[in-house]
Amino acid sequence: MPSPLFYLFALLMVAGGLMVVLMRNPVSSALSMVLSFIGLAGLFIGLNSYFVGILQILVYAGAIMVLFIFIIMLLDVKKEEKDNWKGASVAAGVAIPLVLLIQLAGVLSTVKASPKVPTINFEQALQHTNAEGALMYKEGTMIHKRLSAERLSDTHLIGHKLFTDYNFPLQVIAVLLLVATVGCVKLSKKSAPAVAMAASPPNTAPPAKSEPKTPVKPEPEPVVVPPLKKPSVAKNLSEDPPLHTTTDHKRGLIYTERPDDADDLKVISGIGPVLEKKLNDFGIYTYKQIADWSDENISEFDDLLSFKGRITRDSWLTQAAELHTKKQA
Amino acid sequence: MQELILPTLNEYLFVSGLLFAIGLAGVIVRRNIIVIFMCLEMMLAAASLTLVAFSRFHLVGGLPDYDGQMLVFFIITVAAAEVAVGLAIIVSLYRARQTIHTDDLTSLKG
Repeated sequence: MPSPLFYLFALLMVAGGLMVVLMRNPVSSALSMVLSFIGLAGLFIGLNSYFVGILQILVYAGAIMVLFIFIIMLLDVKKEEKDNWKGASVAAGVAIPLVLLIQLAGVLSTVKASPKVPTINFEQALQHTNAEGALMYKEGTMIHKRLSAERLSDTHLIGHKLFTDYNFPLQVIAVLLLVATVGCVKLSKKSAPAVAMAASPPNTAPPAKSEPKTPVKPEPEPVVVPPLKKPSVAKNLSEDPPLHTTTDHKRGLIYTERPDDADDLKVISGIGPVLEKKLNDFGIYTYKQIADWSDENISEFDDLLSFKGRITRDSWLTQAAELHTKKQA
Repeated sequence: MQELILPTLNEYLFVSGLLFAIGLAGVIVRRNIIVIFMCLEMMLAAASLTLVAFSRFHLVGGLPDYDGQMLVFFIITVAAAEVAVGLAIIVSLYRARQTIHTDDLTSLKG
């Protein structure tokens, strides 16, 4: 009779893994991952590695997955939409692992007699000597006591190994953990531009949205600028329209030909060379144009560039306004 | 009662390869950077399973070869550190771009 527990835990592990990949909601993915790791821990315990099995549950299923779920909740991640699964990547995602598996199965099938689980020999372990010829597990120690009672106390054995043969790597790993801690603190600290970015949307987004619905004549925009900027900027923003421009009701101010003071739109985070080219084709060349967009213009360009809400998500208006003031100064 | 036929090394290796392949598929197919990260962890865990299996099937002095399990111990420690740093990077990425979808994170590619 084949061991049912192996198949149970292996199934649990593989099913959990499949669910991580297939679930659209990241929270379900994270919970499936816990399931998968519990199955894996079961396999570890089936291999007489009790310590590693418990460690797997404590560290992975416990700490790491809680951290993942925490971040998912924190970032308010939305469900993935169906069209996000592209045909090419799905094909690659099926084909490459499949090739890997076939290769593995091929290699494993060449093994005539797969090794069977060897029985643990406690007698031999008690007689086991180290390089100097001394007994490995001395009499009177806890390990010796347990081994004499024919019990595998693998936590003691791992501790023994860790603090003898692996003492130096243990110290190194401690330094690594310290480095990771310091790195996390540094990374999650807001950098100066990030602080400005985080502070500006609440101040600027509402005025940008409540801009006059008829953007024919640009009005002074007093609040688009973050508080730290000089007040003279408001004047700059309300200058007369430059040459070679038309004002479209839907698209706001557009240039009919490339102006001399065209800005590098790529500086705005969210705009790359491709988007810049597209925007230029629509007659958008300067930060000011983007900064002056009304709600209607935003939705128009959202449609023209065919993305859903990226302009507001990346807060182009705020960025453009900041860049414009910087340029003026 | 019949005696249990314990699984052989090949079975453990195949199951671990299966988990690795699933993780790889997830890394290629998924677009959500957090899920990609989870799949990476899964691949790491699959590698740990092979190490533990080899450790159990190779006796040293009558006991499992604990060198393999030491490696797993270190892998788990490094993975914990890696997850902490990785998630911190994802959070700051989200703060800068308001997205965690790899389709929208193309500034290196242009």
